[in-house]
Amino acid sequence: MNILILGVQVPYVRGGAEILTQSLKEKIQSEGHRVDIVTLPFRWIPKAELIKNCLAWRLINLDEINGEKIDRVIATKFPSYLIQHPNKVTWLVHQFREIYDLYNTRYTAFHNELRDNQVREAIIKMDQEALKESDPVYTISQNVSNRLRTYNGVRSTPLYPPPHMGDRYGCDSYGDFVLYVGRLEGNKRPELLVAAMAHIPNRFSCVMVGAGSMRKRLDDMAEQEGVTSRVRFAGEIDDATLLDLYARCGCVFYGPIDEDYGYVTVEAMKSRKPVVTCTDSGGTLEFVKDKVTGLVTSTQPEDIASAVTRLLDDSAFAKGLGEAGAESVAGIGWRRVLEGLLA
Amino acid sequence: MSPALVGGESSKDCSHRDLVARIAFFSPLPPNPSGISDYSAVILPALAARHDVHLYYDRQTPPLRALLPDLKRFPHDEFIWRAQQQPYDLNVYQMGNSLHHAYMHPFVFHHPGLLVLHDLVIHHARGHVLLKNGRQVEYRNELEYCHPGLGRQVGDILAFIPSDFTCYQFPMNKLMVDCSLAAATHTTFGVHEVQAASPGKPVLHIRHPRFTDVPLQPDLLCRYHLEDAWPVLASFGFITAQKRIEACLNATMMLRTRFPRIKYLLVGGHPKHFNPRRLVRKLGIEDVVTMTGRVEEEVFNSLYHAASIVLNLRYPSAREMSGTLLRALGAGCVTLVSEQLHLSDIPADIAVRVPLFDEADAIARIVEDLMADEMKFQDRRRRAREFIENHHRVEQSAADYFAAIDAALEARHRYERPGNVPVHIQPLSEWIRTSLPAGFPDGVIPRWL
Repeated sequence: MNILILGVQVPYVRGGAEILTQSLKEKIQSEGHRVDIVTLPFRWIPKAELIKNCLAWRLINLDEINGEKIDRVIATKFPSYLIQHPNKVTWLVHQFREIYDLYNTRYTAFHNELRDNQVREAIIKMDQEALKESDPVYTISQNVSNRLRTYNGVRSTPLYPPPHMGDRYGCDSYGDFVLYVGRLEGNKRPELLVAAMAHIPNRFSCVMVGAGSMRKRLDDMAEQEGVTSRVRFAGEIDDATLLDLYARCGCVFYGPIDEDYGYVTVEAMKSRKPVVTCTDSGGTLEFVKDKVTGLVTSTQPEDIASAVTRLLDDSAFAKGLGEAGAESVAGIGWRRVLEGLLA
Repeated sequence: MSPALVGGESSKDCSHRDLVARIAFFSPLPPNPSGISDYSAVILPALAARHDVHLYYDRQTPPLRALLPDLKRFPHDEFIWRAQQQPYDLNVYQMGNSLHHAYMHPFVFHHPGLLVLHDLVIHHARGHVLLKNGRQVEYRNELEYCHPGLGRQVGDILAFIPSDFTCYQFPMNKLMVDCSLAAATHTTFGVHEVQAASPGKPVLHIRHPRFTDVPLQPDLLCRYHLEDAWPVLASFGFITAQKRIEACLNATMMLRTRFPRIKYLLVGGHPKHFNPRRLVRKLGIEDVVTMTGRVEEEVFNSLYHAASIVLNLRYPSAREMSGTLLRALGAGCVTLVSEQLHLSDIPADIAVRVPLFDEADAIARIVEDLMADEMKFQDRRRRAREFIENHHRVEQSAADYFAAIDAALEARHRYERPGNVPVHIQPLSEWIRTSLPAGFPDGVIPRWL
């Protein structure tokens, strides 16, 4: 088949969605199909740009290119699924959450103003109409499917994307540090771990992997909490170093607010490491079952500290949860994804 | 006819009265301190008995769980996606001149519905919402739309030199009315005013429902030192300067010689910027005046029965039908009100008028006259009760609501947003059109916008 994967590009930003589309392309190619990725830049400020971005996708015709029929398009992020195509499949990474679950919170620029509400309503209408044209609709997690059902009344099926390093994850030991992996941004809440470190015994430390706009604030916070010597900011690192950290850490902390899916959780589990997460962390809770594959706590620093300390203190306990986690994500692989998207 | 309207026959064949509409009802409910909260708690069960009513409240102030437990209720931010999935036939907005109603402003403009104007003046609330966000231009444009020829200049002045009194002179309700299917008020004066400003718009009179009368809790007399008091003057509700508290206190001081056991009871909280205690001290009537502060609704309603005369004055006013006035009359209180046109639905022999000038003297004189003839006094009490019983029963109010809802539903088919509304109120499609490159064909803008 001639297949196009539709993505959305925020120039200079590369994250999970970009990794996902690239991995998907490679896997589809390996199945013998002809495949390419089509992206359009995405701007959401000023807000009129958002609607224009949507119109742009609506105006593109990818039924055929240079006389060659495009047999299927696979849309991923908002607003790529607005494209019109006779064989459109959506594998939804997430909607434009600023107007859905994040609306009127500190994580969005959309509040209860007339213009914001008009844009919000237009996007909800677009999502409903465009996703109806898609057959079928898949998502990357149950959490994303739940939101689609709640906000748009659209039914969908989760297809969990496997992490991009495939079967390279492994476990060497259960060390004396807790690992954080993720962008240092508000919605990922890295500050929860820094605050928790003040309540974690001095013999334990943490390594924070990732970059972002909160770095300076986290530095200051670590200093205020008196934990600078035990919090190491590793920045952006290569795959081999990340695999090594996963393999050696005692546990992983991942406590974003209502995460869509969270590769980190699955990567940690594939590395046989227990995950500490929070009760409001969304997609991570599809995998982290309290005292089964990890520990689920409130967002209070003391509670997070208590969970992390317990795992770092008791490597046998950590290993037990880690093994169970590995078993629970063993079925996450490309086979099921491709069966769904190429059916 | 909307698919949500059910009843077996089309609107052409039968009255809307046979139909059940899906209604999104925007209002605060207790414990939100807006006076309209209590009102909605009274009228909602009657409306829900006929229509499928969903309450949309400000997420910041959710209603008490125990209140109206069968009522479906949602925070306001859920309206858009809920309405997308299952459209409502009609939005009903309970609009007042306080920030407790500000959460519904964007919806009024974007989802035309039945606008129930509790206050004819909504300038203070709307102006605050716009100006606090630095939207001076939009404020001026809205004022100009509402008050053509004057609004822009008034807006220029008020944006930088706030004047509470001037705001009362420019009600600023026309834009909301014109963006609605129909409007309603609780006074015939209000109906005429709104109709005059927005000719052709259906504007209906809805009788304000009475509140449940609560008998006097005997311990309250002791709690507020009223056992031997006579007469007991009282004012109810949030204490503001507009309620002429200063005049009432002066009148109380004048009456003290004639009535040595007189008490003046102030039931309700007060804002930081207006504390009557200073004036009470200045007048030397600390032993005569009791301020209860904010009290529970049960106590609030019960205390009407402790009052001989209720002083329910307002000036300037938002030209509202006062809930505390109806409570007072319903409890059989002899009640004094400011002489204002918007209260003309209540005859002068039911609520005694106080002229706007020399109020303190007038109050003192009226109280003396009233107290001079016990039989006449008791007769006034009886007539006040009867008036409320005859004109403000909940079922009467509900009947008016049903007629207003019918009128608004009828108006859906002929509603057109005025073309001259300020730019920031225009539909999204207009906004997008202006931001597209020149020559961009209109046809590509989807109907979604």
